[in-house]
Amino acid sequence: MLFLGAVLVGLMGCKPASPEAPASGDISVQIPLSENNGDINNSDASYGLKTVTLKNIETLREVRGQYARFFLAPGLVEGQLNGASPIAYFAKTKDQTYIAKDVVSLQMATIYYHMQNLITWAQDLGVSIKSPMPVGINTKIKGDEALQNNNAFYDGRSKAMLFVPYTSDEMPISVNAGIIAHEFFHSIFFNKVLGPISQKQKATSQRISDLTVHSYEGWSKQKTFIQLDLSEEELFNETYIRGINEGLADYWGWAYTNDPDFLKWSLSSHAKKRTLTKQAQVSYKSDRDIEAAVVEAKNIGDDPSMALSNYIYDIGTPYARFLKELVYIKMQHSNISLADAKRQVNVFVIGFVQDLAKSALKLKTKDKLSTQDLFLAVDEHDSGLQSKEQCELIIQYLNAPLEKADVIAAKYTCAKDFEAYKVIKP
Amino acid sequence: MMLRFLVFLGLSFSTSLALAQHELQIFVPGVQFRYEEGSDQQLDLRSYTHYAANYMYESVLLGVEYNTNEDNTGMTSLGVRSKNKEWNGLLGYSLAKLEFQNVARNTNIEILGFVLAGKTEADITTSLNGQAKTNTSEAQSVFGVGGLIFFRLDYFIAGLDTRMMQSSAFLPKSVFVNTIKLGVNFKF
Repeated sequence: MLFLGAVLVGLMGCKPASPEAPASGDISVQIPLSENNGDINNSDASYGLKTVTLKNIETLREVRGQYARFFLAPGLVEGQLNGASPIAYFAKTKDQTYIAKDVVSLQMATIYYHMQNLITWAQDLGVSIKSPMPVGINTKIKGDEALQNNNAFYDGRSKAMLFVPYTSDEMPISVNAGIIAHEFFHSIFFNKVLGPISQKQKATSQRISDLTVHSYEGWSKQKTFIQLDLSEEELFNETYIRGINEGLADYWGWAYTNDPDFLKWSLSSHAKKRTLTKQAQVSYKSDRDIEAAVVEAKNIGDDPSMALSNYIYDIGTPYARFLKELVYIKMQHSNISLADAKRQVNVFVIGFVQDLAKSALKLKTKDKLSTQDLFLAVDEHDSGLQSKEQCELIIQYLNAPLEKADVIAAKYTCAKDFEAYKVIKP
Repeated sequence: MMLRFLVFLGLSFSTSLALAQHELQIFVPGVQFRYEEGSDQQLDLRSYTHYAANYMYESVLLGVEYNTNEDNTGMTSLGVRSKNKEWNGLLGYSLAKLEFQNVARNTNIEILGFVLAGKTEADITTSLNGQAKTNTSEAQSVFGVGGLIFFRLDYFIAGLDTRMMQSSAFLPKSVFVNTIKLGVNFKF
């Protein structure tokens, strides 16, 4: 009895186990990942569970590290996310892979992995992005019910990515690599375009800043924007910039995943309209189309910007399709890898965005941007290097509004310029 | 009134039995409550199913137990089912025993202190778009210390224990655990 008593007292007095420090460094985790290899002839993507490495993790308990920092149901205080870090729960397998023990932990690991890749990708293109990216999960949005569930945002004010609770039966947005990449592009666009514009044009800063709070389903019902009486030209420019923002973000989503239908996994109702698969008939929203939409929007309501909230995707999607085709043409006719072709187009996109900011900053009251700018910018960017097929793709888009209107007019053509091709204006 | 009743019953108190006696205790699945952290950073009360069997010789208890619980999170398209499994061995010692000698039936209350050691692991099944994959975690050591009360009525036995357990697999590392169990005991 004395012996057992001594054992009991001894064990009660000492620490029974030495707890492991929370995992840190480079950590292998299992996450859902898109498995499309980018084969031009097979656009079918699928999601499967893959083991990946999360780099430079400070503590796996909060999945905090060099690339992301998480907030659970955060608030916004003085432009910064504010809230507790969610606790992540992982179990380590014999092969040293960490498996998430709940869905929140799985989402955190997945978002961290994509932030790691996307930030590295952006840095490789010379874009500086705030790192670690603040990420809000289960973000509570007050007000409009449409924004409270099944959505994701990039918030320009806090420079944070926000995910609201997902209640649909489809795959959560927070593990959809394409949507995460799409939202990530909004951070680039904010840094390059909307941020500088908002700094210069204080009168519209709040509005433009708010416009970066991006939503798939909630835009049309959101009523929190400051109402400004914009001229037709100003509304045209705003609508075009919003459309370009969405289009380039969709391209970014495809470029990151190779999945032309990355929306379908989480927002299937939007996927058909915004698919990036090659269309039989090329079309895009021309200056005239947007002008007409702007006039109509001004006529039908008090808030024309809100009325155009779904229309901006109609503007953006054709640009995304064009850039995707451009990648494949570069790959096939320049005999380079898909990754190299994407990098070339990504470099162009970043340059175009910077030029767009310069143009937007110079705009006077009656000035308007042109919907042809992106196509012509590709021609100019690849001057002296452009293949015939690339030139033909550009003029196919440039001439689309003329063909749609059945206008008998001079069209854009391609002409050989030494060994390369260039677009000849009518 | 209660005190009179107890005196009337002829309460006796002993720290050990005079006669050497073997006892086997087998319990039906019991309930274990643990305070563990969830992803919301709150300590939540979670219930485990507790399976146990003990052997007692005089004042010494040797026991084995298996504790398990299952957590399901997520939705149709993406879900995680985590089944925690834990095997422990117990070494206990009777600290006090309350015998109700004048009761016709064999009735007593016994208080024990115990230490435990064991292993824990989890089977984690992640389901994605209808496909599921199960991983088993590396087994981690578990240690614990606690107190236990038995109430015996003939062959019937009820147990209530409270313990502090520690493992690197737990969150937090140290968890407070309460267990309720019912079973039968055989003396030989």
